[in-house]
Amino acid sequence: MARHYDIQVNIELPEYRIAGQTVRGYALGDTAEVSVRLVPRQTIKCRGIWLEFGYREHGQGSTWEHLLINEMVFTRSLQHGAEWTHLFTQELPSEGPVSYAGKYVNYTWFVRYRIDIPIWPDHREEFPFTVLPNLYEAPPADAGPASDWSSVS
Amino acid sequence: MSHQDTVHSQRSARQASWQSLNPLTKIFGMAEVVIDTPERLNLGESFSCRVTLVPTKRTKVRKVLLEWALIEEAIVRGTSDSTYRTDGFLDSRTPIGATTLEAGRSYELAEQFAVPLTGPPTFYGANHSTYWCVRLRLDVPWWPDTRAQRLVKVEPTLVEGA
Repeated sequence: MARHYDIQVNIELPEYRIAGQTVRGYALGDTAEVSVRLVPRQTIKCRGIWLEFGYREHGQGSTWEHLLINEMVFTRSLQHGAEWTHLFTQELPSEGPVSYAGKYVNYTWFVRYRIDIPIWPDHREEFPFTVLPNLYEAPPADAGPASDWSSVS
Repeated sequence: MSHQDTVHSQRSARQASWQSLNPLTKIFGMAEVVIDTPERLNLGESFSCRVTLVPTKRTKVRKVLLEWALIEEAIVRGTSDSTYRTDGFLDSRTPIGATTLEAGRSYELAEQFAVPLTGPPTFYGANHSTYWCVRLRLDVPWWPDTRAQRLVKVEPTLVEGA
């Protein structure tokens, strides 16, 4: 199917240093910031555009999606050449899964825009991103207390 | 208590009761096993694991295996659900080789394990789960192996320099 539109999604991924390597991704508890720019190449008759944000469990078992955001963010037909932009932020849950690709189990975080077309398969554009665990630097083993209260009289 | 903590404690309790009540364990079990580990760990953290093994009968073993494993569990939903499990990570040690364990004598095993930095934390999803456990297996020739397992919750926190 020919593409009826151009879409660009910008996910602002912060950088973290883990074990000497730089990794880009959100840590659990971070706030994701996503912007999208959509330019229709032709007029698309649709009910609107849905924003879906969450994670998918997939692999050997039945696929399951847990959506943190599932709402219609635009409620008209898309007109040829009329640029549509959208920006949103969403806090990631502190106990959600981190991105993982294993043998039987995969956890994938994604942002998905779905153009809701009546009596026709919807156009879906999905953009995966990486979610890392919470990062915490352990204090050195021989470190004393942060402040030396023994000197306080 | 968070949802993940609740599910984890329910699973741990269910497993402990199953190990103690399983009639097959009572019939074929060759030893009483107590596994002592920390309740919770962080990614990248090392820990020591102690196991107390008291054979109920004089038992000849090929080996005693002590394993630190990540279990990936997937459920296919349908008319009847099917559950699949595999080891996503396995650190296997053999603290006791081929020998004969004496009845009533207490064997103390101690091993040091580590949670990999890149491993997934414990997570119980709708159809897919990842969880960590320490498990012990007595490889008994011509007899069902005696097994014990203890779940350990790995928090989604990465500790560098731990």
